[in-house]
Amino acid sequence: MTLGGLTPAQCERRLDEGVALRIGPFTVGVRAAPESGLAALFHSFYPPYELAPDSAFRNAAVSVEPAQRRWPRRPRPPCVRLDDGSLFSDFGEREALPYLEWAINWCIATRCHQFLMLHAGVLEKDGRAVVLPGLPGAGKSTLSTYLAHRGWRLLSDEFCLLRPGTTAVVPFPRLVPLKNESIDVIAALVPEARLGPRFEGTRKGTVAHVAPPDGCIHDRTSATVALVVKPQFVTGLAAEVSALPDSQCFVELSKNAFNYQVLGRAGFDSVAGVVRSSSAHTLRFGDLEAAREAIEELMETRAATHA
Amino acid sequence: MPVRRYRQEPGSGLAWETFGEASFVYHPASGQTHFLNELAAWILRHVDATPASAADVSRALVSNYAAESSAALETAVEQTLESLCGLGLLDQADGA
Repeated sequence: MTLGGLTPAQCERRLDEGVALRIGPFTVGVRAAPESGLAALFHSFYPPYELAPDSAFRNAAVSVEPAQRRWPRRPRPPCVRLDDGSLFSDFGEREALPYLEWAINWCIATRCHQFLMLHAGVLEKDGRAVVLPGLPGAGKSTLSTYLAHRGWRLLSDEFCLLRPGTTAVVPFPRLVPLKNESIDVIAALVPEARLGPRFEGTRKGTVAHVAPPDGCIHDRTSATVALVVKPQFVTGLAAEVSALPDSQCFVELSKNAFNYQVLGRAGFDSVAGVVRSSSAHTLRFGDLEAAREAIEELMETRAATHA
Repeated sequence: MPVRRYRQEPGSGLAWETFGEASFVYHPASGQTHFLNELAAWILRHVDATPASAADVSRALVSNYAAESSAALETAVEQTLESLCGLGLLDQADGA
C-alpha cells in the first residue's frame, strides 16, 4: 500500500502516530504532530511511496514538533528531532517540509555506509547512468529536475548510492529541493513539474520542492555508471563540454563523497572503478535544453564506443 | 653524521591506482588517500622493506631513466623521501 491510499485525515493521524515509508533502499520513519502543518504537504508530495510495516527497521526516523508557547514550558519554535532525541534544527512557522527533508538527508549521509554515497545527481537512460557531482549552487538539482522530465529516470538529485565494489547505482528518488532562481527557471521550462510551495528565508534561501515523476519512485532497478559530468551553471552560456582527466575525476568524486573516508579501501576501490568504467567531462551551461543535448550526445558516443 | 635510510613498513598494504602520470595511493594505516606526482610515486614504489638512502634511490632513478646524476636530483629525492615520511608512507630505518 502506498501513502496515496490514505485519505488526508488518515495521513494526518498516521503521521501523528509515526509512519514509515520505503524510499529507495531505505525505510524512513516520520512523525509529525497535527499542529506542525506538515500533513497536507506530506499527503500531496509523498503519495507514490510505499508504506512500510510498523515493525520494519528504520534507517532514519525523524519527528517534527510544533512550537511550544504555553506556560509552564519554555517557549520555543517548531523543530525537527532525530531518533535519538537530539535537535536537528528549529525553523520558522510552516517551514517543516524543507527541514524534514534535510534531517532525512543528514541521517542517511551519516549512517548508511553499506553504500558509497557520492554527493551527486544521478539519472539513467537505457540502463546507463550519468553522475552529476557538484558543490551546492553548481546546478545539479536544476539539471536533474529538467532531465527527469525529459526522458531520463531520476535516481537522485543529491545521493549517488553505489554498492561498494561495483558501478551499480541504487535509486533513491526524493523530492528535489530547488533553490532561489532555479525555482522560476523550472516553473517556466517544465510547467508539468509538480512544484510545491515556496519556503522563503530558510538557511539555504528560498526553497521549493519538485516531486519526482511517479515512474522514478516505483522503478527500483539499478543502473551502471557510464558518464560523469561535472556541471557548472554559467549565466549567458548555452553549453560547453570539456574532457575531465581521470585523475581529476578521481579527486572530484572522492572529495565530494559523504563517506569516502569511512569506507576506507572499499571507497578507494569504488571510486577508481567508477573512473575506469566511465568517461568524465565538465559541462558549463546556462541553457538547460542545450545541456540536455550535450549530455545525450556524450551518452550516445559512450554507448557507441562501449557497446 | 649517520646516513638516513628509509623503508616501507612491512605489510603496509598500500593500494595503487594510476591514471596517466598521476598516481593515487591508499594508505590503510591512516585511511588517507594521497595524490602523488610521478617522482614521488616512483620513489614510493621503489623503496620497499629494504632500507635505502637518498643516494641509493637517486642512483636507482638515474639508472632507470638513463639520466645524469646531479646534486639537484639528489636534493629533490631527499625532500620527497622526507615528505613521504611526513605522510607516514615511509619510515626511517633506525640504525641501518
